[in-house]
Amino acid sequence: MIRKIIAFLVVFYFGYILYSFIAVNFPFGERPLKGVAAHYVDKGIEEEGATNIVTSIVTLYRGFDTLGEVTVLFLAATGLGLLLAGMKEEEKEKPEPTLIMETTTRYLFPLVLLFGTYIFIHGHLTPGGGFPAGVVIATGYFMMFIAQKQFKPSEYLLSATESFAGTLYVIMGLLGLALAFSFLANVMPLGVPNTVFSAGIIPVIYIIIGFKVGSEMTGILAHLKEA
Amino acid sequence: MVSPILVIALSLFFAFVIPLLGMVSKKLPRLVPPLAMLVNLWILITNIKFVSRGAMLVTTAGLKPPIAINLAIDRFSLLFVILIQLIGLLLSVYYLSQDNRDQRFYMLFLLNILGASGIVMTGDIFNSFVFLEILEISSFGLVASKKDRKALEGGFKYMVIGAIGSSLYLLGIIVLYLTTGSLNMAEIAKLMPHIPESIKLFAALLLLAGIGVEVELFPLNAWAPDAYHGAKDEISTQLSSIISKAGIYLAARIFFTIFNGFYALKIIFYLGVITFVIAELAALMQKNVKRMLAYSSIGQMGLLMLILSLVAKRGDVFVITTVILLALNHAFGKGLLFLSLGALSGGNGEYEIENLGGNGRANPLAGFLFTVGALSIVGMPFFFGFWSKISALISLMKTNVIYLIALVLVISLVEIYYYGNVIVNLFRGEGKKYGISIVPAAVMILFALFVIVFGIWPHPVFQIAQSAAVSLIERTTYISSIIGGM
Repeated sequence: MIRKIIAFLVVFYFGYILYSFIAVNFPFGERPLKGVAAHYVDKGIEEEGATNIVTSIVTLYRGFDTLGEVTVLFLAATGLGLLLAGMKEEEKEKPEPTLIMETTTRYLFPLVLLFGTYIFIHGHLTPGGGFPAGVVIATGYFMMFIAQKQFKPSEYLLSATESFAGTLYVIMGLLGLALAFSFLANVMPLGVPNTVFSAGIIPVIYIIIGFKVGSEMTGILAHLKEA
Repeated sequence: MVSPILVIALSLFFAFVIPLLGMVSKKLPRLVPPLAMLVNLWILITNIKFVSRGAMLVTTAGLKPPIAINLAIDRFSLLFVILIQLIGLLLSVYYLSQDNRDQRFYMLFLLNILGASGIVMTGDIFNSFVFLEILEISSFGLVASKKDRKALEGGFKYMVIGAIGSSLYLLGIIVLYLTTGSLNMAEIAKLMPHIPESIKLFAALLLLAGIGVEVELFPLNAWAPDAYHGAKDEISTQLSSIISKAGIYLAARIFFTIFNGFYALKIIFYLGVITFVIAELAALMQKNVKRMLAYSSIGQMGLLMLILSLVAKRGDVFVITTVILLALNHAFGKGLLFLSLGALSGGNGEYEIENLGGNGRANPLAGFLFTVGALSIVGMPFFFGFWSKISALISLMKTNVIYLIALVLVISLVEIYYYGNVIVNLFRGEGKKYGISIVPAAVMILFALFVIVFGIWPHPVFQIAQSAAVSLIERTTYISSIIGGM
């Protein structure tokens, strides 16, 4: 008990120092944009052709980081798979899903997938993009895992989608290296801003990320369901 | 000219392609890591002649820094990335002899090496955080991959401390970004004189928390003994030879290049001394040889950080050269110790000193290799460790701190005592005989050859380390080669 109180006080003390330092030195929302942020906002559309500037930051200006983040997610899924492989828990009585759930999810599932697809295709125009779209798609699968007893996506297909999308992402980067001497360079025509076929490689990368994140998250959920 | 960014791109490509290959044949995934490392080493070696003074700039997204991310490779980073890839190659060859592994293991292994190489090559501070995440998350998985109680405990502890450390590291990056408006290391370094002292200190401490986990600095090293003990012997080698080396590089790059040998190094000095003394004394107490090696590893890293912090007092090429020599000795010597301990215990997890009694006599090759590793770590003449330890003592003499020299000498005696105790035990009495196949034996012999050959003939390593050290010291050249005019 006393240890817990001391631990709490220590954490509180450090939290307070952290908060007061940041509150004094970096007041919220009162600073003009500077440095690279100003460049992204001023020149973003002109340079990369995406109306959603966040998108051009995520996939181009800091695209190398995004490739890394995709890898982090890939690692988490792989590590989980490695640890859970062969760890089977004893059979537990699982409650039966009701008829209402079983029926509605069957109709809802394709709509959720369609919505996810919409989000990643329009990533460069509206808020959203590959990561949220992948999560939306995985939510659809999650719903099916809960509501349908017999539902089981093919592990082979999930893993193949994941690998294939990852490989394509790297190939898109290498294309930039081959054509513009810079990894992940925007080598496709920019088009007219605010249309679906614009912003060069951004939509292509977001489609790849959508597939990759979707299959990875679904894979994680499938592994956790098995365990 | 082959772009060095291919080292990262191709490793990623190979890691993503492993599951597809695994569908074709179960035998293929095992061959991917050695192939990837060979290609990477070839790319890096062809680039050596292009890296002279300052750093080589490699852009991404077709834009100049600081707008987009870039790699910045000087001789210091080139030395570390070649070291990491070389040890990666040796370990991946070692894994070739084991045929019962899950293909996911090879993916984690490859991405682990990729994370370490990325940290060393990047010129962008947020990018270093991303690679740090890749490095850490893959190491949690690798440590826990043995899947028994100890391995899971070690992996879990590492994960908790690693997650706290890297979130503080991220906070440090945010503070620097808010103040300078840039994430490019060279530009932040250029703007450093304009940053208020209090913000500098705050950011440096937060960054130190993230790096401290990787370099096993007190008080962030509580995960290390459990993780080293729980993990397989090859994974312990990887933790000590690759992951902590990436940490050392990051510490040198951030506190020297970005903060310009700023007083955060003074904190590193005290933490280094505490880590060094406590860990070596803890190693003395251990009855379990693997835990002993783990504590000895922490102690070595403490000494390394201590010497690194001396740069603040004397920005001197010799001190950095010493850091590099110590890192090389630790990478090869400690790696050899963990691998040969695996061979001595027959891979069945019995690391108690009394259980190993006589095993060195029963397995003469493994016993001999363990002895070589131990002699190099304690710094016996004619082994590479001798030169790194002598350089460490000379670096300390230059700072005129007599008590530190005495301390390092006394701790060396402690090291000689506990390693001697293990070696004597290994060759006394009747032990159990375990077979050793040709591939692991060859890998261990290569580790041993490094410490023996360059122990007798240290000149080339000294020269390489010195030219790497010079490029770290020439801070303004690094900055102007990336961002222009200073």
